[in-house]
Amino acid sequence: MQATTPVTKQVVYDDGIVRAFSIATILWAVVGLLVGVIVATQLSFWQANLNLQWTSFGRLRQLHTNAAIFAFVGNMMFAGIYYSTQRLLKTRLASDALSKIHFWGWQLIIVAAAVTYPLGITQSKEYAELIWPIDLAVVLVWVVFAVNFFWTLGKRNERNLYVAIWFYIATIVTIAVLYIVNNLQIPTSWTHSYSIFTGVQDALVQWWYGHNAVAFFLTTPILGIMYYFLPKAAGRPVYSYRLSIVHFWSLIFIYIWAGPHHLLYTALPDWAQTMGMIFSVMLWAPSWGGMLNGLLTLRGAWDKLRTDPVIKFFIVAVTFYGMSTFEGPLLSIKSVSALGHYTDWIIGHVHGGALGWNGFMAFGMLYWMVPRLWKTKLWSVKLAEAHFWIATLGIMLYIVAMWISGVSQGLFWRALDADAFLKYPDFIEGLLASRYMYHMRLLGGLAYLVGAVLMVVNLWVTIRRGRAHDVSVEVQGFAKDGPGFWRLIGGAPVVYSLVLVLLSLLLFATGALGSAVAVAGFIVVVIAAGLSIGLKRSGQGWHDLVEGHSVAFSVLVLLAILVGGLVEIVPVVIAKKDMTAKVAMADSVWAESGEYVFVQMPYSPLELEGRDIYVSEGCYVCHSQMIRPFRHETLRYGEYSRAEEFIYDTPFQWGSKRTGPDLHRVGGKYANLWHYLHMMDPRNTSPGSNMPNYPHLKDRIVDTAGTAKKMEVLRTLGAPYTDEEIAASVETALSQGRLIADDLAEMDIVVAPDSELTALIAYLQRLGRGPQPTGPDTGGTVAARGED
Amino acid sequence: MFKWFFQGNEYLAWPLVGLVIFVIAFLAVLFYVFVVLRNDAEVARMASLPLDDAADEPDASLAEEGVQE
Repeated sequence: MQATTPVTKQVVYDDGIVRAFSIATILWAVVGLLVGVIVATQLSFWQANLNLQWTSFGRLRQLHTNAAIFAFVGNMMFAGIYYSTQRLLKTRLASDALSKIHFWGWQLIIVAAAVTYPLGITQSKEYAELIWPIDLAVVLVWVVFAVNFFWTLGKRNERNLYVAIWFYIATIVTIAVLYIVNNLQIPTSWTHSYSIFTGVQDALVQWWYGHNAVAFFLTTPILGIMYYFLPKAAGRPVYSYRLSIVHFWSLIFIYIWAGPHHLLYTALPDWAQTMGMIFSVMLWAPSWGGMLNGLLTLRGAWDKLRTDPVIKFFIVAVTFYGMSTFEGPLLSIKSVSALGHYTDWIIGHVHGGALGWNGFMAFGMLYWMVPRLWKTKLWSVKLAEAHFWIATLGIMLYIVAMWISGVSQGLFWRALDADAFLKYPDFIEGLLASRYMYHMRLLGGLAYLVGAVLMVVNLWVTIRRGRAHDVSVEVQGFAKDGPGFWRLIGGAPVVYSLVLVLLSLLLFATGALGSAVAVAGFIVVVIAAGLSIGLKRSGQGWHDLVEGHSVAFSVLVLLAILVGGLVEIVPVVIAKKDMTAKVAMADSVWAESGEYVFVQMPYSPLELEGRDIYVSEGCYVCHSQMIRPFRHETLRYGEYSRAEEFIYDTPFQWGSKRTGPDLHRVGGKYANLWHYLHMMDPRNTSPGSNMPNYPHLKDRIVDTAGTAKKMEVLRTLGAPYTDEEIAASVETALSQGRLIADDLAEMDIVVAPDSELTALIAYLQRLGRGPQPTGPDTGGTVAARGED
Repeated sequence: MFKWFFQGNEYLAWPLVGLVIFVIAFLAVLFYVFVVLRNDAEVARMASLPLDDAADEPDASLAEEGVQE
């Protein structure tokens, strides 16, 4: 039994760490927004990259997204969590040292990202671009955060865990699982690695991570912050605590399944796409339940909206949460996705969430928290009001521009004439039509940045006029005589959850009879659980174990999020083995009969290096490599993309946005000369293009010293390289490079056969085709085998 | 139909299992919220936890002169 004996204690909160994270939030907000404005400028005026390789759009876009997510929202999240957790648990953070390690470790990771991305050092998975040594640092810092948080839970002076704490627990547990699984990789050097997943599996795991980074990094912690700070600002409790509980469990259970909606109409198995769509639509209910709970918290206090900028920011933030969580499921419906995917509509959707929901929650929280942390009043309410209106205007300009541009692009790409052929075959026409919307987006982003600068001034003066202050409170603690380890393990929630998991495995592992037994078992267990709760109502039951014990609670959260992840990823991994076997079988059939059967061969050494340059330059942020099975796409780009074509692709390069055209079947479409001219200045071949120039690729020599190592690692992942091919990798690369260089020389263009440009052209010419000649007699180590 | 659905795609049972687990978990949460948590006073106490902090008010004593309302 958990006896409670009142004990009076004096607790001094560690507000120093909250102040540190708050200042970091303010700093990184400006940096992230500034880089956003720079890349928006580049989309309007390509010259804004100053013709420098380090400031090209492909490299800076990663810096912008990571700065916004992990630096701005990340620091804001930590500030809010540390502030509210101490007060909700009525205790100081468990370890000052761990808090400091957490803070400085996180800032170092951000700096490392800011250095590596402009240098083109990336692993190209969206929102997970950090290279493996930095990934390890992220995991270590996250573990430090988790230990500090759960240790604090263990020494709390409040019996119950408020719902905000639930959201924080879900964030910590889920992000750990997501980050580790998505970054399972084999290094080939200190700055390069290959994901252990390839092709379709890599895409599914990445978007399982990518979508849930939105869910568990940009949503659940912010919802926790909303459930704490909104009642504080409104001066009244949350509208419905019961609704918040339903909101929490249904949200975390459903969210984890929704990742495949990023891959609708791709080569992902259809059942996975449909499941992602269904669960995304189901998300409407909990998301709107949470939004309404937030808005209704202001019942009877709406008058504060007139005078309090904090309430203004919070209410607009919650409204944007509602808008984004309406638009997200809408875009997840397959027919809507067919129109909106790859277009600027998605960019508008993302920014509605980031600028409106995350940004405004951050600003409201800072305006509320900073005066209290420095024991003073906000310097200027008027300036905060100005910030609010300028930023609101900025968001509206931004997302309206992207909606118009995105829907126009979708309609433009699919427009067919009376004979069912493309009405607008030239892709660049659509880009040119979006120019004015890009300018409007730039204005909106600029306004949002100006608002943030006003906040910096306001908070800076506020801080200067105040004095750092750690709150000290007297609390009524309780002596914990909590459940022992075995009591906890044998507790009803854990036992029933484990039984349900075992029954699930039984349903999967056995035939029809076993499935029927499993379903019957489900019913029996649910009834037993209900009876158990009813019988234990007077004593210690589920309530105490779930809300009173953080370990039991965390186990339940882990089970909830693992279910959705496992049932999506495991079948696709199993399917990959089938696919690999079929491709190998097709290969042997071809070898024996001499007839052409589809054969998927890995990249040649030079193509492999060219692919790494494609990754390094961030080409995937503007070009997809996934042709969807629509007439308008196959007319424009060629045959639709098939899953087996990607079995050796790691990391996958399907992309998520088409500022430029799809490249999956660009191989053989243009001559080497076209590619040369295009990379030197895209306007040579595509007048009006906003793509950067890449002249530096011509001057840089491709580093083939690590090629053999890369091939060895890929072989362990399934690519059928032979020992001879690996041993001859350098010679083969040079031989293939000479073919391209000689071809260009006929047009009086001098390019070194071992230049990065040659490697990139080799890769582009391979896309969507079989192996290409690697020597004059096509007798290179990876020989051409009949196709194309 | 059940047999036909899984023919050649036995791993498709996984999503189905997941869906069943989700439905059960969702029903369990509803049961927990509307049956187990019947004590309104306790629920109100938990909902008011963020408002327990009287010490969380800003102090104007250091900056009263500079405040621009």
